[in-house]
Amino acid sequence: MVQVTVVNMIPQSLSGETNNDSEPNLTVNPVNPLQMAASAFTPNPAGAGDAPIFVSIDGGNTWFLQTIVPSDQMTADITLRFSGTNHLYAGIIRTPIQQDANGNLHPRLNILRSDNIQSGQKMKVLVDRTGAGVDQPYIQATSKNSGAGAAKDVVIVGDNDFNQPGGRTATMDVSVDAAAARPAFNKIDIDSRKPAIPSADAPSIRPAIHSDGTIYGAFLHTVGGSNLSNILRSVIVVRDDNWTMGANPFTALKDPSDGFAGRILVSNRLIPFLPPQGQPGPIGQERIGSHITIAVDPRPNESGSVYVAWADRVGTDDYTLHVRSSSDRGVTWSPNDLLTITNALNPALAINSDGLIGFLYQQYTGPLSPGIVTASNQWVTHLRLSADGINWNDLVLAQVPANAPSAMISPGVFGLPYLGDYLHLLTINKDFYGIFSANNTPNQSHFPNGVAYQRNHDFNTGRLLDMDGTSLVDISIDPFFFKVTP
Amino acid sequence: MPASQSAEDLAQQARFVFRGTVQKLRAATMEEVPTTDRTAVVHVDEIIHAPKLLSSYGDKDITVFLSDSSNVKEGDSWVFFTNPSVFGKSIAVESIGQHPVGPEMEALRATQTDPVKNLANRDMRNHLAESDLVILGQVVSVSLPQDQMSADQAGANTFLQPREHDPHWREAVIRIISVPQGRYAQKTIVVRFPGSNDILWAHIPKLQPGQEGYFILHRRRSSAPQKGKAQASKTRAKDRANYLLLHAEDFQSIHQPGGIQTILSATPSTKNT
Repeated sequence: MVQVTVVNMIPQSLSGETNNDSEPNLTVNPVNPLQMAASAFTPNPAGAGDAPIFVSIDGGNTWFLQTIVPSDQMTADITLRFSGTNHLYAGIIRTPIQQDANGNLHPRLNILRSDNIQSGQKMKVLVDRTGAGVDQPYIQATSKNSGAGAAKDVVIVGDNDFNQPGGRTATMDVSVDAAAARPAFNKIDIDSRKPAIPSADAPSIRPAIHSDGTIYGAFLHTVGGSNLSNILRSVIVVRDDNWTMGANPFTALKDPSDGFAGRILVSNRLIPFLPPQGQPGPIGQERIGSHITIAVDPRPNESGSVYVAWADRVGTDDYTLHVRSSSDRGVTWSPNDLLTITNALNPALAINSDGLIGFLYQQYTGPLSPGIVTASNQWVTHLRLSADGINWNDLVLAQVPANAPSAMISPGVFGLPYLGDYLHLLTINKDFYGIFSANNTPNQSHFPNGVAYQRNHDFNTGRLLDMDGTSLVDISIDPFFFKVTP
Repeated sequence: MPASQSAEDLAQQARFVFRGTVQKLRAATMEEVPTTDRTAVVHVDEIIHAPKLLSSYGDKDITVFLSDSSNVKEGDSWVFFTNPSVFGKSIAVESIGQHPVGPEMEALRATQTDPVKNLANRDMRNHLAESDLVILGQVVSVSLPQDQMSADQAGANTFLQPREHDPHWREAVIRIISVPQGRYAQKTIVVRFPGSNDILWAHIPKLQPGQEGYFILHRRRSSAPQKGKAQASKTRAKDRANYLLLHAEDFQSIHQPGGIQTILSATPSTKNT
């Protein structure tokens, strides 16, 4: 019997909030799984000061906000990860965006560390980079035993770094001793191919780490197109076999077609980057254009088993998820999709200690008319589980209206992202832990596997209530934590 | 209790200022907050200034991390100057100073008894003070920046390098009615604002022709001196827009009462018409 827990993460003290808390991320301390940290586009409720993260110390049943991220009120991107030594790391786009010497404003990457998330102390800045701008840092961390010495924290941040030459922007920032007082980070360009046209890699650059030192990376390389609606990309997987400590990191996988590092899973895939400036999101008020995830089997001697999912367009208006796998360290890949999900985004893969594969995503249901959302449309958050990659069961975690709240924050201005450009799924031993953002209407029928709210609410009337317990609060987008024990 | 900083100085640094009565020392209202010599449960008797989400904490107990607990006793009343740091079932706030209850509290209220408006007005005054130029004017036109159009015409082909956080700059020509703050001698000004709907830029005002109101402007850093005809042309294009809109509060319609209008009302302006 599968056990499912779903929790709305907004604390009771913020019952009056109506922010769009999208683009969530989650980490669970492998040393103490009762301790967790999470993030979203959640501003400091005080309207000033450092950005908050969500913290739980009771296994995710309750959450509180702690303002320890050195960014003005909120971040413009954030992902976070515990290592195996109780350190919390984060990759953020720090605000405010400051002018450079020429008056240009480019996103600023920070890589951060907290040695004790309950201390209340501000996270320490390990890397601070602006230059031409950096986007969407996505962090992974683990701890490796170095033989005789103590465990060392390995931290890898996949990011889209426009400081890289020639449009080969896919980057991994790696430290193999991130807990050191002044850790060194190595910036590695993982895209070996010069784009055929002036372009850049897509924003999503994703790492996956195995405890034997195998590290994979996945990204979307541009191969063609003439405008944002018809960009063609290849799905690329790179691999390193020794914690990136060799002379040429992330070059273990070569593609037979051109001999370059990075296996091409599929090529010439249409991945539109939409909406055009000033338009509403094309699917359920959400933008599209860069979704990819990668996961490696964490079991000993199974680092050759790796799964990738990405989104592209196969028809006229759709946005379709594809899942593929490799059992030989990324050399060959399943020729066909293990799963194909139409009109869906935010894919996240993870594999547990039994080799059970989890696939989390959000699917848009009802009629699809780009830019138009009606009451018949829903965002449905699925967790699919499979022991063999062929047969998948389906847990629906949330099925909520897609037309509310409106993304329009002022006349003609559609705030993006709506649900977020990513969410997250991870495993600790057999358990799957994840996070997603969704419409927060307290309606139990929206959560088929149950839900708990911390913020004031009335399930009978389906209404959110303010701190006084009576005043109504508008619905908004909230982060939801879940735990699934197969 | 030492009061080394004035109440006004502390209020400038604090988001949540209130008069409160100490209920219990070495205690907290939240399990997540470990109790120490610095923690105290304090009853909020009266809020002086607060962000909206904390304005409902009047007549409630909260946790205070005391800045100095040496003279604080249970039953004492103080004015606490705090910044919230933990939000859970209750809240915990970090005190940056405590002052005895006295007449200075009246001064902190200014003319506003609504604690949310009190803080909002303080924030706006600070924001105005940090700006480079404040004008009253009307948007005449909005267009793509000249340097961006020039780059496109030159075939720079940046469209396949989409960035989620690209500001998508736009330029607005604004006819100046008056200059309430700062100096600007021209009758029109070109202002650059982000057209992007991305999380980083969406809340910054998107100007449209005909809009009339107050514009809080921030000077754009000038480019380094450049040589050569082409570079000079580029520089001229950039120089058209030396001011930016960078914050949600940087535009207020003339039809919206309060806010900038109230704060500026005491400040003499420079007529520009």
